[in-house]
Formats: sequence, C-alpha cells, structure tokens
Amino acid sequence: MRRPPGARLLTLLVAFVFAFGGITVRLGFLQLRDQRAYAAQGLAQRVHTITLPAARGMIVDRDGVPLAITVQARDVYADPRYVEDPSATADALATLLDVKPRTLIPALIHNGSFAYLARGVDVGLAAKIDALSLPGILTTPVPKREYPAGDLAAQTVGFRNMAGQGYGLEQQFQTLLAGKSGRERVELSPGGQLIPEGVQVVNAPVPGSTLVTTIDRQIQFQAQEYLKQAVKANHAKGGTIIVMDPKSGDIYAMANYPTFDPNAFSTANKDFYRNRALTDMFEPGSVNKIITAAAGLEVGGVTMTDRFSVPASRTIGTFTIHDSEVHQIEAMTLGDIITKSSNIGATEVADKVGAGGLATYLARFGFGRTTGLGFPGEIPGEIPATPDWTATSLSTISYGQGISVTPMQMASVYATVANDGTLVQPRLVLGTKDPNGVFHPAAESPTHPVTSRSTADSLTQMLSSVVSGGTGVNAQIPGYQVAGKTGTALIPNPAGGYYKNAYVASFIGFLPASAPRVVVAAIIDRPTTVYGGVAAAPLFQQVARYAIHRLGIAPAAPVPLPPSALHP
Amino acid sequence: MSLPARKADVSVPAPAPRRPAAPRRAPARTPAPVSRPTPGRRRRPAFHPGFLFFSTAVVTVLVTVVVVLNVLLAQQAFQVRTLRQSITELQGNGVALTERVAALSAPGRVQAWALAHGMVTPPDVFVLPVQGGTGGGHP
Repeated sequence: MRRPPGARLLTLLVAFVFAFGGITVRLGFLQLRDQRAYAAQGLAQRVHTITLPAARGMIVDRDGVPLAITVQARDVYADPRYVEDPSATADALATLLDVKPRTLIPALIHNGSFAYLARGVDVGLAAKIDALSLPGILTTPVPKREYPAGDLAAQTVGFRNMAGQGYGLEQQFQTLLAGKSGRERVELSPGGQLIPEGVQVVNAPVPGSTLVTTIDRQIQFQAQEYLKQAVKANHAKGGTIIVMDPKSGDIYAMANYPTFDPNAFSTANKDFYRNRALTDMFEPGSVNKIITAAAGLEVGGVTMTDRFSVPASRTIGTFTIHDSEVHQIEAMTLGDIITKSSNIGATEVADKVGAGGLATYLARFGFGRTTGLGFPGEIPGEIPATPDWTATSLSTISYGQGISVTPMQMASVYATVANDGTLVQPRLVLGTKDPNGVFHPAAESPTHPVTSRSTADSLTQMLSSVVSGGTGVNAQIPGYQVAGKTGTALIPNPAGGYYKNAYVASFIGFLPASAPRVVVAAIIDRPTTVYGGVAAAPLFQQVARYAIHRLGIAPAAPVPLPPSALHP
Repeated sequence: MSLPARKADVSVPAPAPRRPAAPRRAPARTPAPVSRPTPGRRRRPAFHPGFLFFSTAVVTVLVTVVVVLNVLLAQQAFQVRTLRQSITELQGNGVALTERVAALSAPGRVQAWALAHGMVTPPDVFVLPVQGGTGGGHP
C-alpha cells in the first residue's frame, strides 16, 4: 500500500485550516463584532412602523346631532403602467364616478405610476369599482369629513382644506378635534403578512374629542330658510340672523346668506366662507339708540318723563340731521324718541350724556372689542377714540352712524338689556365629549353689569313700545309682547361719505318682553325696501315665532309701556 | 411490577464482561486489552430501554406542547389582529350609520321630502289663554 504524500496532505491541511479559519473569522465578525448592526438591519427590514391616524372628533349641535363627522371613504387612483385599455377603462369608470370618460383619459395615460381619478368616494361605490378588477385601477381608504346637513351653519362650523387652512369651529378647535395619531410597529414577512409573536407594539391613537355646540339644528335651519326668503323678497345683497339665549349667552343659530355647502367648499365662492355675523362690521344705525338711551338714563340725568323739544331738523356746523318722518317741533319723552326712532331726539339725549358718557357706554356694551367667542376672523369693530371725535360725532354716533360693529356685538347689546342689564358673553360651545364619551361642560360665560336693572326695565318698556306702536309693528307676534328696535343705516363709502340709496336694514329684539327667553337679530344688507321695519322686522317675526314653537316659550305678563308725550 | 433499575443493579451480580467483537480482519499485533471490572468500582450501567422510552416520550411531549403552544399563540396573534380589524370596521360602520342618520334627518331633507309629499308648513303658533289666569306666565 502506497503511503499518501505528506506534502500534499500538509498542503491540504493548510488550505483547510485557512479556509475554515477564514470562515471562522468571518463568522466572528458577523456574529460578534457586527452582530448588533446586522440584527438591527434584519429587524428593520421586517419591522414596519405604521402611523395610525386619530379619528377626528365630531362637531354636534346642542342635541348631539352631528354637524360635522369623519367617515371612511376611498380614493380611486390609477397606475397607468398597468392600464391595458385606457378607453375601455374610462368608459367603465365614468358610469360609476358620474363623469365623462374623456375627463378620465389623461389620468389613465399619464406618464407615471400614480394619478387620482376620484377622491373621497363612498365606500360602497369603491367596492363596485374594486369588483370590476380593472387592471391598474386601485382604491385606498381615506378619512373624509362630511357635513350631513349640507349648508346648515356652514360659516359657523367651517371646514379645513387639504392644505390645512381652516375656517370656523373646525379651525378654532383644530387641536381638540384632531386628536393625536398613534403608531404601530409590526413585524411583517416580505409578502406583507404579519409574523405572529414578532414585534408588535401599538401606541393607540387618541381620537379627537367631540365638540358640542350651542347651535340648535332646527332653529338654525329655519333661520337660514327665512333669511334666504327675506333676502330674495327684498332684493337684498345678503343678510345675517343671530338667535341667542340672553341668560346663558348660548347662540342657537347664526345664519348668513349667501351661504355654501362645506361638502363642496372648493366650488363655492370664497366670499361666502366668512361668518359675517362676526367677521363683518356695519354702521348699526338706529338700533344703536338703545345705548344712547341707556347712557341717558344712567349718566345723562334723563328720566322717563322728561320731555325733549324735537325740531324737524337740526344743524350742527354744516351737517343737518333729519328724522325719517317729517314732523313739526314735537315734545317727546325718551320713550317717544325710541318708539319713533327720532335721530334728532337721540342727538338731544346724547348732548345730555356727553362724549365721554356715550363712549363709556359703547365700551361697556362691548363695542370696540371682540365678544370673547374666540372665533377665527372675528373683528372688534371700529369705535373712534373720543379725542378723535369730530363736532358731529356725538350726534351721529347717538343714532348709530360713525361707528362700526359686528352683528354679534349688536345682538349682545339687546341680550344685555334682556338680561336685566348684565352682559353675558355669548358662547358657541356647550362643552366637549372626550373619546370615552364623558361630557365636559364649558365654563359658564363671564358676565359683567352694564346698566342697572331699573334702566334695563325702562329700556325694555321703550323697546316694547317700538313694536306695539312704533317703527317695529311688523315684528308683532300675537299673544306675545315683543321688545325690539328697528335700524336703517347708511353704508359708508370707502372713498368718503356714504353710498346713496344703499342701506343696512335691521331689527333686533327679544321676547317675551317681561321674561326674555330669546334674542333675535335680523340684518339685511341693501334691501330695495330700505327700512328695518319693512325688510328686517318681518324676518325677525318669522324667526322668533319659530323659536317660540321650538323652545316652548310661553307668553308672559306684559310690561307697561313708557310715558309718552305724543300719546299721553 | 418492575423494580427500579438501580436497585436491580445492586441486587443482581455484575454481568460478565462481554467478549470483544470478533475482528473482521486479522487481529492486530497486540490484542486489545480486555477491560475487566475492578473491584470496588461499579460499571456504569447502559441506558435502560424503559429510560430511553420515557425520555423520548417526555421530550416528544415537551416538543409537542411547545409546538402546540406556538401554534396557539400564533393563532391568537392572528385572531387579535382580526378582531382589531373587525372593531375598526364596526366603528367605521357605526360612524357611517351615524352620518347617514344625521343626513336623513337633516331639516332641509325632511322639509324637501315633506313638501314633495304634499305636506304644508304649519300655521302660526296659537296661544290659548288659560281660564282665570293672567293670559301668560313665567315658564
């Protein structure tokens, strides 16, 4: 037997030693030195972090009915690389998506791997599209904000667009509504299947809270309907209605016309997005006389029985003031001045109050500052500082020209009178409901006294007289005593002066006069019927009548009418 | 009833050493030394078939238990995931139904439906004065 050559064996041994040595060293590197890095790399390939979006909270009315709610929808998109027959695909999809086929073709032949065909479509419709199994046509789930009642309280509820730009309560309470998104770490196979017992860490998302508003869906709807009819009937440019509870400050309705449907905000006129009850200002006109009267009673030394000699006109410098009704020199009480809405009478009361006194009461009633709602875009109005007042400012401001306020500020003035002279900050939010369904009521609205109770009672008497026999008779509601005031204001021209034949007509009031339950402010922009008593008072009456029905307001004992020199 | 193996070892005399297996080839130059038990040193016993069977059974059971537990855990993991998905879907359905109810009961839709079915807007609110009362009251 031949013995194996030692040299070859040795060579083989050395080769094996080197080979296995190399493998051992490499293994050492892999398993010891780089072990952590490779383990992490492997884990990273298997472990995926998925963002779990938080469900956006609802916005509901005071009865819990959703005004804004997020539902699951699906986006339909195409991967044009896999679309086999763009024309046939477009035909098949067009019927379901209710569009013309030619509108889909560009997306289907798009030079890329992704193109939207429709966004936020109904889940059922998406299922039908999936069932077609069209090559290159896919759907993906997305949350979609829905506004079930369409244009109901659109400017109040608001919306948020894709860019995150928002309006209304959707914007104001964005943080509360949005919640906090969560994260899930899961270990998946290369095929995307879950590896059981693999890494699975779930940081659950925190859903957004539900915002419970003070809005009453029914009153809001009727207010919008009546407002739309009134704007059309009076050939006006637009209008605003506010319905609120004078005791709590709760806003039952805040309607603007023209309006829009937030479900299709992108196609709406952007001017309609504004909640003009809070973001637009107007010169209030005669509805402001109630502040002049309040100041007269509080600091002007005026009593309800004082008689003012009111001429047919009054000239201050080069400026001549007239009343809307031509009359001879008449003796009027404060009640008569308010009932007949005498501009000249108001200037005489203002003379007794003085600029400082009137400015003080304008401020005490909340003019010149926002109402505290915190609503996006709310403005404080424009009240000139007393040192800037001209020779005519005291007179013109006494009947509501020369200052600008928001409809909400003006409604708040009448709510203050209805609330025995105490201003209650208006509010739009009753509270929030957390993800567990626990209701957290909002803090009570802050209050502050503006006038004495006796002054508020006197003002109520005067406002009742306006409706029973003054300029506001069109606001009467059988069986109920209504207190309110008409306003017909000139519209300032930015170029100077006022527009000719352009007015803001308003009627603001409350009922029942002796135990007020609801305040309604009706404001019509540029009606052809001009006067507040003609254009706005009937609108007030319609809305107030519905509020009586909706809120179950019972009649109350009437308040006495104020002393009158015209009808002693 | 069988006795414990160890006890049997004690009671039964040590077995005679086995003969070395017959060599297939010619024996080596020096025959392999025959191991003999030295007095005072017990020979290590061979695995008893019962012990082997028992061990195998235990290991098999343990492995089976581990595998079954693993399968159960895996199934549980899938079930938990399926349930989570189901919860999410049901919540989604609940929200969709809430939205549907809100849309169907929206005043505008109800009014349109009512008008389409020939209903009319209710007349004015009527106030019925209470006999002997003041005609009003504080609600």
